[in-house]
Amino acid sequence: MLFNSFPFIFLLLITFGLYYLPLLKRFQVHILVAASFAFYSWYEPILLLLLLFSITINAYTSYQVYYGPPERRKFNATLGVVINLASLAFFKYSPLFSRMIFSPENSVGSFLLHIPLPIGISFFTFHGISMLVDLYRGKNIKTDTEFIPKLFTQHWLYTSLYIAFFPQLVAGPITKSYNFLPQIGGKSIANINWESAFKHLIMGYFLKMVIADNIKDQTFWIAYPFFEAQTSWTLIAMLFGYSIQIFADFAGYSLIALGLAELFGYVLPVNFNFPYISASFSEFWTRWHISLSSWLREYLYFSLGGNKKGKVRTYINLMLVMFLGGLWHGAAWSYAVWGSFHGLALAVERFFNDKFGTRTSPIWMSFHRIKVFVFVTFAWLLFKLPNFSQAVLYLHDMFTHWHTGAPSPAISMNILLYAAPVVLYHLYYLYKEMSGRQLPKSLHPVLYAFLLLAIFINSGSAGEFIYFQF
Amino acid sequence: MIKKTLIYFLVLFVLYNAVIYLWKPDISTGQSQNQGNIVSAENYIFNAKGKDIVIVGSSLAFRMKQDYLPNNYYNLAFGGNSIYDGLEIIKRSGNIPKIILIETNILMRPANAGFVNGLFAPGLSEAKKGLPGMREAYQPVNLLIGSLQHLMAKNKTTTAAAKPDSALYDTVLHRYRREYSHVPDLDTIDSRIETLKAYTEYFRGLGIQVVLFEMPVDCSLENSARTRYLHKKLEFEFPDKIYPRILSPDCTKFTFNDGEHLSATSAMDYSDYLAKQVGLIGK
Repeated sequence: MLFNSFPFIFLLLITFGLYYLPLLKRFQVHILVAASFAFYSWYEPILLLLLLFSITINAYTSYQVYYGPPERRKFNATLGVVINLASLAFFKYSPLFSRMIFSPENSVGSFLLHIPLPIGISFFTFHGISMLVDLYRGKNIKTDTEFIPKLFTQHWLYTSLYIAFFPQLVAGPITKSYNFLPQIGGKSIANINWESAFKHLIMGYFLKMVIADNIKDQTFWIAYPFFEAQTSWTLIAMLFGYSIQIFADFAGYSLIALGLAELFGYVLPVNFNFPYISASFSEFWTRWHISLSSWLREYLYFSLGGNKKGKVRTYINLMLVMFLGGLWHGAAWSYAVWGSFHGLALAVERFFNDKFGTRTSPIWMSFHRIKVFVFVTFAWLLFKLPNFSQAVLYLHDMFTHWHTGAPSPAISMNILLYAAPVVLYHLYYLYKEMSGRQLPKSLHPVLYAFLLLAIFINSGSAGEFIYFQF
Repeated sequence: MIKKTLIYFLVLFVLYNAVIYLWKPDISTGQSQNQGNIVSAENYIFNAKGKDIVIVGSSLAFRMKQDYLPNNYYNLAFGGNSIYDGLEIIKRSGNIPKIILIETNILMRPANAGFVNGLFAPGLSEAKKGLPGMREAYQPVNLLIGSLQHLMAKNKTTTAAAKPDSALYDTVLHRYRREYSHVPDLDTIDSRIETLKAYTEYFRGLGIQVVLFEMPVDCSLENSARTRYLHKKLEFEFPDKIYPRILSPDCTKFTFNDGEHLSATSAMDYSDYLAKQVGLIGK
């Protein structure tokens, strides 16, 4: 279900109404879980079985880790993590394995190739793993409260909400269990932070519906063989446009998720923090898809030893984590290469910083910001064109079509027009950080009224969120 | 803050709609092919007065700009979409013309349900009817681009025909030749013909004259296996007596941007030709 579809708005209104009905206060968690299941099963009800399987396995193994015999804790935690990873591997990576191992005519290969990719599986399996590891490690878990309910059925219900909570179910933000589980409880309409929810929703819908959905129709031509007919300038503009589009699409989604969760009394982690002003690759990953990068850092990078096992091992760990992070996005080698590019950039950057230190003069910072943005933008090409030969051809055309192809000034102009708010959004943040000044609060209603107006009168055609495919 | 925002928004929204209602700017294109299609469809849905001959087709027929056609024509052909989308829009809009001209070059492309359903989305469709400011054509960005285009058209003294890049032309034509050398899957053809028949019979039932026509393409494509097969199939399934057909005229008289899509001047010539042929039907 799309956040900008009528069925979703209908579901939201019904859920919200029932949720805060005093008579049904005892069933608030049940209501949210039921709404989340309806949300998930809207297009393919059969996939709800997989979600229920995931919830049940995670509820059972986590319960065993917390209340089971201490000598079995490691076994239960490992079992849960392995089942999570196995289901992710089966549903997400079977086609990749099939292409690597079997011929297309082979019946097993054909079966694996046609396994459907359940929406959101990458996100909800990471939730499950987070819960198991947090409980096993015992870190960040308050021991003075009952972190896990004694009654298994209630724990199952809470696990269901943690894993399936609809604002975050299909594209995050990936919430850590120690942040989410303690929030579960009775909520009152009086405690809603209306202003924050309102701002998150307006900004989120603006980024998605006005920016991303409009640029989407311009970057549509980054597809083989259409891009072959474009000039270098148009190809550059489209790649820049895609960089803006993917940010607006995903950051927009994340902001909507934050706003929706706030309506039900839950606080989700901020997922984007003006990533395109980053002056280093490591900074970029503290600003882009923050919930994923912090998940990878906490549950993978630290587990591999992080930076505690020497410089060379640190570089290797960075590369490995980013390689796997890339593969997490999609079952194609292009995603792994995309991740590896970022891993390599992080490792090289770290090497140079270790060797020569960092320069922080304004000119150097500006240079680094441009460098990071250009690198990140080029790397996005592998998201748009997962076929390597097509990505290479696009780059080739981009550097050789100066005098060939049909000029499409409209594409470039539209991209610049729609990219402008995102660029200003980042520049304003930078200005705010540097000068300490900001827009007077009295102007906020005017600004948000214009954003709302743009949503109503200048939205693009509805498109799926890019991160749904992951 | 929320209350103030909503009040400001309401004021701006009402003002914008009032301006559009009074100004009624003439916008017929969009920022992209997809939006252009929506603009064209919405213009038809909300204002089809006096348009008693409607063309449905693909990007091939889309080359015939509204300006090239007589005033009582409406071109409901869509780049990237199919004839079935145009037919469905006529059906659902309730704007019934006297004649529907159906392009038969691209029969295989399936209907785009998402596109058509989006146009008739409950609630939104009604809102767009009453509040023109919400229509795709009247987006602020379209108004800006439309005004710029008017300005540029005013300052333009000559219309130089864009010369297609010859290497690119050959590459694309080669690709088309490969495609046209195969007869498409027979089951798919049958299924599409069934769909088309259902529409044509429905419209005939309403007393609408249905005419099939063919856009000219590069001569090498006209003599291809695919074109020959489809000619025969259409002749058999849609008898001339019931469904008049306007076949492609001499292909050597036209120029193309890529072998399939007419150049602007040829699109003008073909528009004239088509209108003349339609005038001869029944005489």
